Amino acid sequence: MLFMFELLRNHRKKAAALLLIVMPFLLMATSAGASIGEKRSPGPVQWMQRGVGMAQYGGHRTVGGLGSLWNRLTAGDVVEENERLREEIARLRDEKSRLIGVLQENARLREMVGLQTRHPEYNLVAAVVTGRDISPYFRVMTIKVRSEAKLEPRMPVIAAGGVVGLVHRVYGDFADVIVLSDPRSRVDAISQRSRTQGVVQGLGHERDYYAKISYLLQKDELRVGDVMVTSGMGGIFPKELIIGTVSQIESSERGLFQEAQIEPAVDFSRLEEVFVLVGTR
Amino acid sequence: MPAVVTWLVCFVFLVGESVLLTTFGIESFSLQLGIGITIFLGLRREFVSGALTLAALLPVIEWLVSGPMGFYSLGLVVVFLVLRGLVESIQRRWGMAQMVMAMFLALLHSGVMLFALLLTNPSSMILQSILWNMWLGSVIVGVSMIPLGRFLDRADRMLNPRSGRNVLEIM
Repeated sequence: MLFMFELLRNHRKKAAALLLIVMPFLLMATSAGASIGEKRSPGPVQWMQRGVGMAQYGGHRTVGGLGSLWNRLTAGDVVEENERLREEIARLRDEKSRLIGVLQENARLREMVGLQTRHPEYNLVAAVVTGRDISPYFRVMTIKVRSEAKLEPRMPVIAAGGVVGLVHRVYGDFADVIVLSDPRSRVDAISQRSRTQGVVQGLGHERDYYAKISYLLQKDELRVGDVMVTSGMGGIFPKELIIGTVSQIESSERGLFQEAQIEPAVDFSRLEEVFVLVGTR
Repeated sequence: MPAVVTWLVCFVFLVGESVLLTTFGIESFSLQLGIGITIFLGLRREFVSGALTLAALLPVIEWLVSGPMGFYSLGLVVVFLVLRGLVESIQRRWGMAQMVMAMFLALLHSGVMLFALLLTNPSSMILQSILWNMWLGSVIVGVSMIPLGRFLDRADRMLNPRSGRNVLEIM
């Protein structure tokens, strides 16, 4: 042991460089690679991941609070007005802003309740979006579930508007969700009108959240405006969940397949609450 | 700043970036602070301290990036090692030169990711995503590097007023 310490002390630079170089390969070796759905990490790693999740959640709540504080500060910045009136206006604005927030949340929750009513067979668990990935290459969101439900990798995540994505990694109450437009995402889809089948793949580029439909045969009839829904063939998503609308078709003279671009039904940039589909009744 | 404090400050920055991207819903305009932090560690820390701090940050960065594990880190490690090789010939002030350097290093980072993914997942759509986003991404890294570097330098000076001011200080 003493010899090891001595060795490390004498070769600090080499040891640090070695650790740094080994680290990425260690991470690669202990993960699922580019596929979706990571196994649960060992206990200590879960705790560390949960710590990161808690920090994101705390930050999410703080930023929300700072936002309303900023509103309060900027609302009362009229020099000419009487001090009492300013305070009154600021208070009323604050109340109004909070009321609008509550009304918007109410509307979202109503939509979600509507989703549950439309699909009583689904066992849905509500979750709040707390963070996003910090690279421009992927489309991942961190969610925090609001119940004791146990999440598993590859569980479908939906919103009132339609499909959101798949659970990738679970740590405690938190989970990373691979969004439909992430380049790793693939969902079997079918056109609601013509029953044309294809695979919706995330692009991770162009207009932020767009995806494309691949493996469409040249003879398949698809039109701009067609609504694509889940086909249920992948065995993960149930049938007939709305994915999005065809926005552009790119058929080529050569090759077996044509491609189409799809605009997801859900606006991922504004998502605040989602549902995880933990099973069917 | 001691290594632990540096780690904590960087952790707050990384989590803060994730939270802000959620608040504004602008994922493709990510600042990629992981690259900026690596550049700071490469330029302003002694090799062992910088390497150990970065090694401790890599898992956190990977969890927050949520990509295929290890590839983003590999890019950061290459950026750090390249920077350590060049550190003597890079000026200290955070300005235009540092901005351009950060842009090139962000492109190098993307290049390393592309190469590693090409070897392991050649048919992946991730390659397209990186090729599409790396250009704007590098510009954003370059622009965000100046305030980030200046802030971290200031934080360094708050805890250690001699930091960065003594020409005889060992880099």
